Amino acid sequence: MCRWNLYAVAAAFAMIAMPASGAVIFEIGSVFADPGSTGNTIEVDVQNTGGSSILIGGFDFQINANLDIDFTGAGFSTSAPYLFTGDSFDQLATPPQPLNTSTGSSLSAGDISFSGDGDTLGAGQTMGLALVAFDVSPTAAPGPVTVLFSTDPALANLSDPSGNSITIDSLVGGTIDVTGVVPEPSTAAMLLAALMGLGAWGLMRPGPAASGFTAAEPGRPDRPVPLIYY
Amino acid sequence: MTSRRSLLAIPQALLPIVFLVSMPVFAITYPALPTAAVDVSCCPAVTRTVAVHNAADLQAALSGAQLGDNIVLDAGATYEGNFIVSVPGGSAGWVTVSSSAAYALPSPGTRVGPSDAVHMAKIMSPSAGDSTGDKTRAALGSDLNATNLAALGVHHYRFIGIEFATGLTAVNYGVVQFGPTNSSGQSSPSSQPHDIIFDRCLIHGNDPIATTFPDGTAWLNHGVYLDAANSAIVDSAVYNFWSNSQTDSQAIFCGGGPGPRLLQNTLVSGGTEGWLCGGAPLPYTNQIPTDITIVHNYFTNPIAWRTSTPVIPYVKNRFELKVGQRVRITDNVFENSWDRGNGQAGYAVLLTPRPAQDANYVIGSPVLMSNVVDDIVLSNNVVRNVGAFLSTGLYDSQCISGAGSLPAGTPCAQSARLLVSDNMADYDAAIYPASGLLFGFMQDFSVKRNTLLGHNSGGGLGQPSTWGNRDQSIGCSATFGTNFEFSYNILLQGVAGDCTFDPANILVSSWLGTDTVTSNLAANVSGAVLNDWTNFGHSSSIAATEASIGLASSELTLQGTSPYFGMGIGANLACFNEAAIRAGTPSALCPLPPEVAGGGSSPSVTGFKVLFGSQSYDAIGSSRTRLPWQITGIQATFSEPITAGNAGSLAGITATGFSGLGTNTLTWTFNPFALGIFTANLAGTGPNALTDAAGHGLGSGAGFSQTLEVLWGDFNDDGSVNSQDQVLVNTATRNPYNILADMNGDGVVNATDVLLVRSRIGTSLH
Repeated sequence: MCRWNLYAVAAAFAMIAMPASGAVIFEIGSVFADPGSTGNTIEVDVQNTGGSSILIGGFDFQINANLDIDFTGAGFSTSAPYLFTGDSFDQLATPPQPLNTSTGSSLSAGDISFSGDGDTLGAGQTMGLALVAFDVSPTAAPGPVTVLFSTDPALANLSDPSGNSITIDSLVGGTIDVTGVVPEPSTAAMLLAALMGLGAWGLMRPGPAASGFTAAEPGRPDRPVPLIYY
Repeated sequence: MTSRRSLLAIPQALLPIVFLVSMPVFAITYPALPTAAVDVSCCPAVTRTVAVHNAADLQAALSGAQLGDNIVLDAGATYEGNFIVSVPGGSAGWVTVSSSAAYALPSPGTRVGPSDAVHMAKIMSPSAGDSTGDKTRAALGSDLNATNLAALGVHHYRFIGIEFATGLTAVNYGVVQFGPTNSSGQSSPSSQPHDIIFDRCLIHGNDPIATTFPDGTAWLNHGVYLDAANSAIVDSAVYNFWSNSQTDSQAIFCGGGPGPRLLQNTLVSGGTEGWLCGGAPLPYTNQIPTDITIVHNYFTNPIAWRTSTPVIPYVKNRFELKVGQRVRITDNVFENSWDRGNGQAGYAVLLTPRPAQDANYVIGSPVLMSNVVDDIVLSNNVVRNVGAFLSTGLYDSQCISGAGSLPAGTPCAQSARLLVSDNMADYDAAIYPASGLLFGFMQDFSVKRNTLLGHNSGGGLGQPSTWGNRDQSIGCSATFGTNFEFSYNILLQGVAGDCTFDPANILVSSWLGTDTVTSNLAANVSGAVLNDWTNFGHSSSIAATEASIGLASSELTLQGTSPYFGMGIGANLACFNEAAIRAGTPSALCPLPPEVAGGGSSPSVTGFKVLFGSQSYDAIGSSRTRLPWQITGIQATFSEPITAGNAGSLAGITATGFSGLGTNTLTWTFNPFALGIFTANLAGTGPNALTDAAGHGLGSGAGFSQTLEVLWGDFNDDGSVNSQDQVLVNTATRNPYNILADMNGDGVVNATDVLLVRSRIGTSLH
């Protein structure tokens, strides 16, 4: 299946499972990468779409791709401000710890407030959880590779400073678009139809649009692809 | 308020009364238990049902009985006569004699009472005498006048739901009688009755106070005469047997003959004796009763008998052996015994051999040297409201003194091997001002772990809880015999001795011969001077109350707050359900004392810890579902030392190490286990069984099981390890030590533990 078909499916899924307003969202970015490339990065963020700030004591997550993707580590240099900047257990531990606890086609990472006091995720704010490094297999087929969160509560968790669970309303996956393939005309037509349908649905839908979306870049498909798991 | 409970309570600090007298090295021989038992499991197979509706039909059915018969009597009907039981035909099975409403009786294991009579048929001896005018014969039994000895070997009868009663006669020698003829000659087993069981029956005389007797004042009512091997009375009531003259009356009497015999869960009320073996010529030549088991019975007498007039039912002993061997008397309640009209103190139990008894009947006959009271286990009983608990004797006093027909100094058989242990006896000077535990001569006599409480419900001084009683014919210089052990007893109201209460009491070693007397707790509730306490280096004015020594209100155990708790002092009858025994609904027997073969309780698990790092955690007392550590072993604590077991005694996980054998604590180690569920099974049977020194398997053979869910890192016990656990453990690094956060078991909670949780994030037991 070509990548455009995946986008169509993802878009259709998004129509029935958009994140609600006032939610906490874990989201994965979307990036391009060439087959055989190394040292690529993809960001994992947490977003608070609600009207109140949230005090966070710790988080952990696991992301999964296919075997063409080798997650090699996770760091704190996120484009959005890192959640526990200056209060990172991983960074302040002796010795300091990497953010990730596993590598491979799945990567687990997590951190907690070193002080135990927690750190604030403000209303409407997005903060970084990890900048995940990855390599792409030289034999990877061109097209999008979906990167999803594990839905196991033990592997996607947000805790307040007292150890209580904070509900994660949405786990929004991302893609690693392995480059090198031009869409077939028939596939492009299908994508266009899907996008038209999505646009029409958006016009009819009351309320705010999915806040996890960023504007589609020219020449690229819409991203990120919102996938919601419970 | 009784004197024992109220007077001169003193601080416990003034109770240094656990004493040590002497501990010579000697080997006491403890009694043997019965070597045979009666199987009373219900009910025999029936191949023919014979319904009988009148006395004639009943006698005909008994005369023509075949093994496999069920002779069914009409519930509510009375069958009056002196019914003779015959040797049944056939080769296998039993003859059942039952009520047509036996199905409505309580199930086996529950005692019947008078209220169950409506479901029973009554077999009653004639009120007006039989055709020969003999009013003394039993309602049912073997033919005492038979001349054909082969006809006397009556066997395999089981009576279920029958009410046996006596007519309104002045004299009755027995309501039920299975025994010898009136002449000797029944020495062959084939001529002796055997295999006779009374199951949920009422066997009773007439109420001496409420009954009007047409023949004038009744003076003798015997109950059951049962000299049959493999015989039993179970879940029954035997009562209203009494006399008002110097002739003794027994509820249940055995003269002799082989066992086994069983009395179980039965109410026994007989004036002078509830149960008596011996005291008359042995019925079968040189065959003393053996292998007798007396358990879960309620020996009592109506309290109204104590003061009734003009009828005075004589009362003295609840249980007595003048002959017997291998007798187990455990788990019974003895109460209401006093002296009325016979000069004895109102003992609960009397164990005094009478090997010379035959000589009383047949002048010049040899003394029966086998006529002994040997191998008696008197344990786990509760005694209340009696004049005294126990009287014992090594010799027949008549042998020694020359009473009766015997010349003085006639050598008599000696009794031996008596264990009196783990009993609670509370006797009352107001019932009879005697002594509680009265010792005569003894050989291999052990008195251990009893709670002996002398008091006076009428006020004033209580009686001594223990009293030495040397035979007066020898005098005060005598010792008690050989191999005497008196240890770990509570003696409230002190100790006294005979010889006009001379300073020497039984705890003076010079009285004792070869003895061990140690670790007893003796106190005097009245503050009166105890005899010769200075001989033990103790104060002579020690006073204490039950409360001050920590006795529980039931008097059966010490409270956990007692300074003597756990020291093995006094009876520990936590297993004893006194109310249930009184009500006839007993459950399990208490463990036999460890002194007898097979005795002692089986070991049980009292603690079960998992090991991790250098730490351990008690999994039994925990409310957690999951254990948050990587466990490396199991450590079990037992109620007693375990002397046999191995690494394979733990199943459910493969042990790689094992240690602690011979102690109360065993440890199994295994490869680190961080995630998963397993059930640790400790074996109680089989080749890997954990057993104590007596060979008892763990949990009476049932073993022990503990399921363990292990999820290393799951601090909050929610079944998965995630950032919440990490946050909580991180918080725990700043709080007092919390073993649940000590993930590596090193005794501290620090960043290492946080990192361990972090490394475990994502694991779960889902």
